Amino acid sequence: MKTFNKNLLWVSIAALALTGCGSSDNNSSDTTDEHEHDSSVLVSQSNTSTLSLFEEGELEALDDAAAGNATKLILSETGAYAAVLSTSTVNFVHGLHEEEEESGDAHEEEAHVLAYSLSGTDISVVPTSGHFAVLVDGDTTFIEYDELANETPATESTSGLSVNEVYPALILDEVHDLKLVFDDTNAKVFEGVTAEADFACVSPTSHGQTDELVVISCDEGARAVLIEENESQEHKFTGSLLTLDGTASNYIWRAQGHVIVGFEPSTKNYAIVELDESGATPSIVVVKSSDTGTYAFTQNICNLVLDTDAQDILAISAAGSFVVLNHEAEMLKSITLDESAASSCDDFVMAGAAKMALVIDNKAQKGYEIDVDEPSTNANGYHVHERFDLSVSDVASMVIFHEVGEEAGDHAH
Amino acid sequence: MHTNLLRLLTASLALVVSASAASEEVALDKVKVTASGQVLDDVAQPMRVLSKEEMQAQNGDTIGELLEGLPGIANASFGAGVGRPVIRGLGGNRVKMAINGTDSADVSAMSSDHAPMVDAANADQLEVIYGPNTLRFGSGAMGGVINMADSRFHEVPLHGYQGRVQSSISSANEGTNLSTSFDVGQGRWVMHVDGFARSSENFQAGNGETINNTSSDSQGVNLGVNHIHTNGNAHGLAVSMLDYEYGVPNPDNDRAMVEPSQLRLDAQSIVYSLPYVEKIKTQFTHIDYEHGETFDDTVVGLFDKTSSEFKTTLSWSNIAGWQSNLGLQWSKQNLELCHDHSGCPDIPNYSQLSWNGEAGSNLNNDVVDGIQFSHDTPMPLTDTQDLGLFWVMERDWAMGLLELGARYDQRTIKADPVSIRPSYRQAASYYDDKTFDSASLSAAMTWRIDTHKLGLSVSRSQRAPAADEMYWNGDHHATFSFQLDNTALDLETAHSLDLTWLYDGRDYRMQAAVYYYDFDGYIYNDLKAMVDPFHGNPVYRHEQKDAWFSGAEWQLDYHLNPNWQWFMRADVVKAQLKQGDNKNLPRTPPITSTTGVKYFAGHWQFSSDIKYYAEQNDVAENESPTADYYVFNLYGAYTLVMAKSAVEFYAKAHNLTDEFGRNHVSYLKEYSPVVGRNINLGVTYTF
Repeated sequence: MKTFNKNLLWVSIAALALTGCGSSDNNSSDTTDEHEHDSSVLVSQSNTSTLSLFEEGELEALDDAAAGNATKLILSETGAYAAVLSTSTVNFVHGLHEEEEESGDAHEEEAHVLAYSLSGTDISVVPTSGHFAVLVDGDTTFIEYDELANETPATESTSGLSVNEVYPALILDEVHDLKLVFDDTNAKVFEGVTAEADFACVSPTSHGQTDELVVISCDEGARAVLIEENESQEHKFTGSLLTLDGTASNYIWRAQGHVIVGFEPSTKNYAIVELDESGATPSIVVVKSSDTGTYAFTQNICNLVLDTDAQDILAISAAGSFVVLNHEAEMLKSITLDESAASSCDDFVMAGAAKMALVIDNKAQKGYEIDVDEPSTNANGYHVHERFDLSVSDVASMVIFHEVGEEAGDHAH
Repeated sequence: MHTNLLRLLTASLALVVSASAASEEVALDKVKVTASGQVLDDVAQPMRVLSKEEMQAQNGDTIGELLEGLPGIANASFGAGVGRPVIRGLGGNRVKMAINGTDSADVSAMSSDHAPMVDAANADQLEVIYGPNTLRFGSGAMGGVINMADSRFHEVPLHGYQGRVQSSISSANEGTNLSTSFDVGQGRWVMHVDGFARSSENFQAGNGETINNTSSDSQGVNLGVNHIHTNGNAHGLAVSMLDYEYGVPNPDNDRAMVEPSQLRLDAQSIVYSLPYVEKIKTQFTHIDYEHGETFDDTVVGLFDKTSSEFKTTLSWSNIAGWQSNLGLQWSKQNLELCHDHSGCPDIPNYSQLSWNGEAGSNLNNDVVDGIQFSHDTPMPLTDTQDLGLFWVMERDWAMGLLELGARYDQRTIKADPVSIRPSYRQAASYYDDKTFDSASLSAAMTWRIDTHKLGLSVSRSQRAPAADEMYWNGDHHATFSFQLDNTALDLETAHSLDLTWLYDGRDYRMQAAVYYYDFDGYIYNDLKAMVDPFHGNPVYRHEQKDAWFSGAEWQLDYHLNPNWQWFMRADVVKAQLKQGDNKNLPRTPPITSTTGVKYFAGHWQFSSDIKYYAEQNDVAENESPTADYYVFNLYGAYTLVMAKSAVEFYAKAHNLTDEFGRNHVSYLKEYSPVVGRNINLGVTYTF
């Protein structure tokens, strides 16, 4: 009856003066937003060194710029950090973190460029087993993600291995100090400082890594390195060349969970690589685009990413066709992006997250957020959730900061 | 809008003290149904009129809430902001809503979350019209017509001024309400102005729970100018604006709002004593309607409707003993929609995207159980044109009154998919023009035997499907559902039989009615046993099957003594399909019964009633039953009469015992129970 008493007072004061014209504080409900922003999108642009957060089609510049234009953004496996690669510098951005306020409420801090950076010539960076691996001047430096926030983070380096690295080294097993190091024309497996195995690999360009399998594109083709551990924790390394459609050495690889997927740019060729551990000995299973029953792209593949929830394969192809495949390369969904029908692969930039992809079309100046509303009940319900008009047409690279599920994050490289 | 309204209210109040009061308006000693020109007691088919005073005693402000107390009428509420009447279980397009005789032309029949753009804040009366006279309004009003009559048009001169100011507050929703109406005339020129502003917060249900997304804000203003000639010819122009903003309760408690806005222009001309015709009444209405559906401050759905209506009625008082009305009615309604999660600043136009006229790839990729689901603009642009010719006549006969009515309509629906992206379009032939020709016939007659009056009404009515029933394929945010299209819908035909009995004795008056409606191809929104592939929401599709409705209404008013009156009301309706395992139709009103007393003495009046809503277990497929509940109400008023004015203080308590209940007729019954205890205090000043 509190409300009634309050109103009674109103009446006693001036019934006729009750205007009702004041705008009410409608729906002051303690509602929760299902689409809460537990993710953010970082983009770099070709014509500026400014890094921006992308929200509802708008770009909001970060306080600190990258070291150059058209930087390449590489997301950490945890989804919280990104490496920002320019021609001679790697910066790092912390994009997803919560800070506890005094009140005990969680407070989301905006993405920002961290103080730590690396510079040099011939620089490149990849994520590997909870670290960024940065190749600078022939040596790889490993920085654990949680160390990045420190101005002088603890790092580890391959400088003591007497190798001439041409591609960032990969951590295969941190506990046993196993690394895959790309020494000139060979990929070598090191346990500590001892080379345990090596495989021919000239000019590596891209890789995909899971717990027990690495696929890397070298001049020889797509090299798969299988890591097996027996009961006495001894390791066995097997290298093989995969038979793929088209030119295997051109494949670009992505990995998430236990799935590695690659595609050959400017073609319709792709491959899905998984380890079959159901038998006595694990075997590498490759599903190729030419296999019977697999989805055949009608346009050249522009980019592939893996969703970080169920490792669905999310592909954008020329003329604005977005396709979702499962691990057997069966089509789960095909969505035509009408406004992008005249766009080519050079126009598209794509990033993935959990059951979600963001596609930017620089030519049409459109952004598409494609997602699944209720993954638990409607796993394949991908649809264009939102379309954005873009004010820019030079988005160069993009990552989506988001919390990657533990299993997916642990194994995703 | 607020500023203008305040100025208007201030101006109208100022006029109170500056003008002299001397009305020449002729007070009606019998209740007149403005929409048909008939006197209530002289009609063959029972009509119902809710006066201004009776509206004041009701709880709530929506048309559905105001009429809910009448037998046979239920309220299809959608939260606190929306209440559309359901008559004898028939709702939507079968209950036409009109303002001073012309269509409200809103989108309330399309979906239950869309508020009717008819606000009774300054209404003189609300009329519920059945039988042959519904044919004056258009085809398909099988359930009846709700007409709101106000004073924007005058047909007799006024010298001086008259007006009314009302203000009230309510407890359950912290509601405030102010309305004013003012008429001023200098003989032949008469001007009317009214306005209102209303606001309420989230209400509390009977269990004490505050129901989120039930707040509402509304305001409206209405201006009319009339000229009445010495020969009685009257011409008037009116402009009105109406804005609502109300929440939509939902399972996720998302902040969901619907914000309709309407600009309405009316012109009316009544000309007498023409050659061969005694009276011609011509009405023209143009309405610009828009509403946005807002989620978290983003308008994700936009409905834009522009409509025009022209109606002219030729009247003769005696052609071979018949009082006849011949009318021509034309209307055009353009409906345009937008659905976009990133915002709907306007209606989209994708004419720049190429289309080969074939069904789009996305439409073909989202198929569940053979049904195509679209996730784009839900409807093409549609242009619905109706052309109707009606003839309504009546005459006395030896024992009573005879009424006849006939109407022919042609509806043409044109659809243009330019607002839909090509990948979601159907093949071009899907959008071909669709034409429906419908014919309706109605007859009613009464027999007066002493204090008894018996009535019989038979009719054959046809209704063409609406554009939205045929073409909507898409998400509907505010209802948290997915609507599928059905372009195979055809005419719906109803044959009805209605028997009424009235006893008007010295001490009491009793009315009873039984009716039976037989439908060929009844169009109903069927809840499917599936969810949509995008959001997992329930899926509806308009289906067409044969059905029947049957029911009864009963009312007793017993004068215990000159001061006290006891009344009882009850109604029951049963609605079923003729085929299927579960034949029940959804959202059929439960049995209700009401009893109460009224007291009138001098300046005092008092009433008390208790209304019982029975449980509803006759539920359709995928529909849940609803438990019974009752609502206990009190109303009291005291009128202070002054020289040329009066002040009435009133108080009403709705659901005084704070009962918890759910309205079976509401789509939102699970999320939005009925309002709990609500104390309302108000004052009305008339001059």
